[in-house]
Amino acid sequence: MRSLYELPAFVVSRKIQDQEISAEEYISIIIERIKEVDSKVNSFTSLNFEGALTMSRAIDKKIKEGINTGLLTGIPVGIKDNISVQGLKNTCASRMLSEYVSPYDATVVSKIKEQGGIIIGKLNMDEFGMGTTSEYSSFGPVRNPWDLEYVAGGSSGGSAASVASLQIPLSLGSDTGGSIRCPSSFCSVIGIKPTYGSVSRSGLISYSNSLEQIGPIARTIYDLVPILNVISGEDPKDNTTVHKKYDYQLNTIDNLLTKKYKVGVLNEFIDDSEIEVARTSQKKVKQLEDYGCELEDTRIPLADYALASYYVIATAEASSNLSRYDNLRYGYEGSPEGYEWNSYFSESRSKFGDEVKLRILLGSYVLSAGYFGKYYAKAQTIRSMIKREFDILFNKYDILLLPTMPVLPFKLGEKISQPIEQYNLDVYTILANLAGLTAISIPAGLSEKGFPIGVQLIANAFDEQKLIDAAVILERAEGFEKWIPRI
Amino acid sequence: MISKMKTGQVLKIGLELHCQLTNLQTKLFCDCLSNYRNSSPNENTCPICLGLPGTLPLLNKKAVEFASMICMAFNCNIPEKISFYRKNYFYPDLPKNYQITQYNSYELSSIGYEGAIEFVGESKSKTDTSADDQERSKVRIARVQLEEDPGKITYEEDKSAVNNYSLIDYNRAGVSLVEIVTEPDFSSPLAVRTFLKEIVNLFEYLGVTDPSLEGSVRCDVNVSLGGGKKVEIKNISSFKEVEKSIYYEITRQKTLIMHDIDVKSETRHWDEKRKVTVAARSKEEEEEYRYFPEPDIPRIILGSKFVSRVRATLPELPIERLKRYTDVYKISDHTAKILINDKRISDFFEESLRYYKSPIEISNWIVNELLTKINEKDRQGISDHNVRGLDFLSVLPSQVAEVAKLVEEKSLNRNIARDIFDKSIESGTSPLKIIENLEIEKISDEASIIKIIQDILNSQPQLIEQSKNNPNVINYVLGLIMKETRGRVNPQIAMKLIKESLEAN
Amino acid sequence: MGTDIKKLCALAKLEIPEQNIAEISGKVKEVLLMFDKLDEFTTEGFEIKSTEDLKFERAFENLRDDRPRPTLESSGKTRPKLKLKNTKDGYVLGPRI
Repeated sequence: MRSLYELPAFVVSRKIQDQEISAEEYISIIIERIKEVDSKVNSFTSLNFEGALTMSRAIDKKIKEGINTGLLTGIPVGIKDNISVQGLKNTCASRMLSEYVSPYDATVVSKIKEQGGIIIGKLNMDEFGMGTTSEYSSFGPVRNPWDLEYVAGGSSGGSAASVASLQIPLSLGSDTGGSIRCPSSFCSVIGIKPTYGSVSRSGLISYSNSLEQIGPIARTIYDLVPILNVISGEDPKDNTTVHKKYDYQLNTIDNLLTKKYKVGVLNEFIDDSEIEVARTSQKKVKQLEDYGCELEDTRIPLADYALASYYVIATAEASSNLSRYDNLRYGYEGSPEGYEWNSYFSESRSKFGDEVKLRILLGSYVLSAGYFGKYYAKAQTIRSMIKREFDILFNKYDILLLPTMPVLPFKLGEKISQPIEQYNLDVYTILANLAGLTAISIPAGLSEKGFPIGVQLIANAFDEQKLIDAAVILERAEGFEKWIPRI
Repeated sequence: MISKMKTGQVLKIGLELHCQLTNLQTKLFCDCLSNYRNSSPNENTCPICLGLPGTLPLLNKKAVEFASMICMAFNCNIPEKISFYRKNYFYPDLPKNYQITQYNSYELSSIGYEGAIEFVGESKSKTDTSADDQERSKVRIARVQLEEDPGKITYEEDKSAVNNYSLIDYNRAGVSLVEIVTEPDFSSPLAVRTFLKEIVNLFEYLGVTDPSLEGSVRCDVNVSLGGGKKVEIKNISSFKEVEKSIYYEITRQKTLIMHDIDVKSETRHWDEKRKVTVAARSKEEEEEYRYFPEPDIPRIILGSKFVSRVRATLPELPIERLKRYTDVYKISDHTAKILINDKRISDFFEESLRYYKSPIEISNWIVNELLTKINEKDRQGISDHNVRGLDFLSVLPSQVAEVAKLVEEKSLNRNIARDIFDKSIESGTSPLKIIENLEIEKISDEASIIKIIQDILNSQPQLIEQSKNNPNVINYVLGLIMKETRGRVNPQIAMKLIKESLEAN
Repeated sequence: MGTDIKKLCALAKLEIPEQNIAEISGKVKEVLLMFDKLDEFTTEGFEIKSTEDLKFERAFENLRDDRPRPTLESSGKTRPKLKLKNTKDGYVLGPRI
């Protein structure tokens, strides 16, 4: 018999609600599992075992009293360390915030708690979300559960690796340019970047506000949908959220066979990828066809400009967002006493890691006098144009298909300190962020050497349902639940 | 109306006004109190105004409305959509190390732009015949923008060099501020003073701020001479200092020009203690504010009906009131200007009219009597701040109305009325009461006086005999009467009656 | 490309040790070279208005009302107070200006 930690969250939650097992028992098993595994993976930055046990007991009590405990009853959820949880450290994997404890819950965290979810700990990441490998962390790199010498992908590496290594069934990540999808692909889990404006960013420590969204990561679409429903929705604390009904369904295969989605295949991206990635993507095309989808080749002409556009906007916003870290009101140990303010600020801020410093400098440069038009304004124009191209594509197609990453996971340290090489890995994922669309990375298979490969589907804004439907099909077609790393 | 200074250099002065919207309940982007003045340090703060990681600004609807009212008063255009920008600079009083503001370089972002306002001008004395021909000055407004106030930095020791650290209070951080930028249309420090006085008054009429609160209305100045570079003066604590700083800056720039030294474009701080401007930073540094659109605040659609809807709620403005006073009430321009130039006086006038609707009479009492009194007290240094007040005198509008009514309807002698009014102001008693008391006290009926005389003669019967040889007895008796009645009888009548009484006995 | 890295560091208030300046300077230049891709893009033939970007819009009516938050006593909730670091008599300790 499989251990409880191997089971999908929705299955366990049902058992807890039916009082087959208690939430406390389940959390205890999860805690043991984390203790056993995470020393190898390094996916957590801080743990909330005591708090989690207390919450689990409260849930058990409610269940006994017959009180409705919600969609996520008893399910441990890991939270990326850039999403605020009241009373827990919120470091963003940065030395700048090594002592910062959040006094409030992010909206998504409150919602998870309201629905009976249990915050089990905070997850490792690239500092402030800036990276594609989860190596730029003050806690050390996240290791890929499939091979501990390999990168887990980033920046939400901890969120993907913890779920992939069967430590927890669900986690939250954030996706600014692929930060949920990239590690999901590298670790073989399913991760979605919701439409911009559908999930509140209140409590998410901003890296690039106009690009990023919080999203969930799971091992199966059946676990992903409930938590996506929980966290989506307009929030009075975030003026960029959109008022809409968010009620995603898990449709049956019979139902889906009648939908006959039109899928545009972005062949240029497939061809430009490593051969095993390309081959796997084609296999997915075939599977969708088998389930009644209509597939057609297509392209995004302006994609060549996307990378520059994306990094100009992201670094510009980041340089401003990260200004507030001056170690006066909160941060890390140290006092401004005796300092002149300029030198105090400069010295305090030297605690940022090198990649963060690089992006702050770049962002400061592109916004500085005389360069706004050359960089920022131009980047925004291209962004609008790319959005227009997508609009045209979505008049024709329901879904676009492309690889999540152009490459397979690589060795730790292989691309470290090589900004351009790393940035180039983001070309497939940044498109959805630039255009504010929703995109999902779905496990697609393993390479010959046993490394995960993900396929990415993009849908129009607020068309998450189409991605979910396609994920149900792909999960049915190949049953990716069986791809579990041995650790 | 550009005037040339004695050296022949054209003087151009522009202003950057900052007005806190103190009449709001909450801050610009969070639900902390807008009134930070009664809180202990850092008590009036929350994760949003402290700029804690992950917090997002939540724009105050009413702040947008108030700002738009200011725009309307300055005859600015209000766009259908507004947006916010980040002004990036580091400073310890700035929780996010950027300020959320508005910026018009890349798009029309600000709540107001391209306005103009005439200022009514100070009314000169009545004898100044030129008063009526006095031209109204026009000031162009470049833009009006909504932004957040930073926190406050203080020191334990006065001399900053002695301090090893500063103390920061973020209670003010995030309070709504409206910045009004004028074109350099002022040509003298005096014009600036007149304008400022009027603007403060205007803010009060609008009901958006209480200018009597310290720091609620602040002003930066830019000065250029002879078409030269613009120098900005910041850090000016009060309007009195504004004028002084301009005078200083003019002298400084003239001296530079005289010595053939270029005036640099820079920002200088006004050192209030030494009464000089001190170089703060060069323009070059300032240009590095790295403005870009605030991604956390959507573009706000005001819509086509916004302006007309807010305009309908706009209170009567001074210029409109002036027109009503002169056209409808037929009050002289001079008097009307004095009334409207201080909202509280004007409101006092309006209130008085509710008791007795005679605008001209009442306005004269207020301007000629009441304000004279207040000015006397002012000179004694009783009131200060930007606004003079009626508060220290316990005068009620009804008191003024009653005096006016007594004069007009009961033809009370003006001199007596003035005395009564003075008494009324000092004691807080209503003029009608004073008149009543006076009338009761005045013993003018002969019977009462005869009774007093008889009482005296009864107690001192020898007086009757003495009076036959000594005419001074009459005066002696009169003295006794006066003593008895504390001088309330008419001496002429009393003399006559004393004589009659003595003779009759 | 006239990027004065030290000036940029001063602007961004970042202290970078002398021995790392050359390396980070090289990286900045490398990325800026990638950004130059934007120069190849011409907007000719495209009409883009400044307001036609991806910025969200919100109706004035949907903004926050000017209502103070309920006081802690009346709401019955205890809001956890943020512990500001380095305080003195409630003030936050700051550097010299």
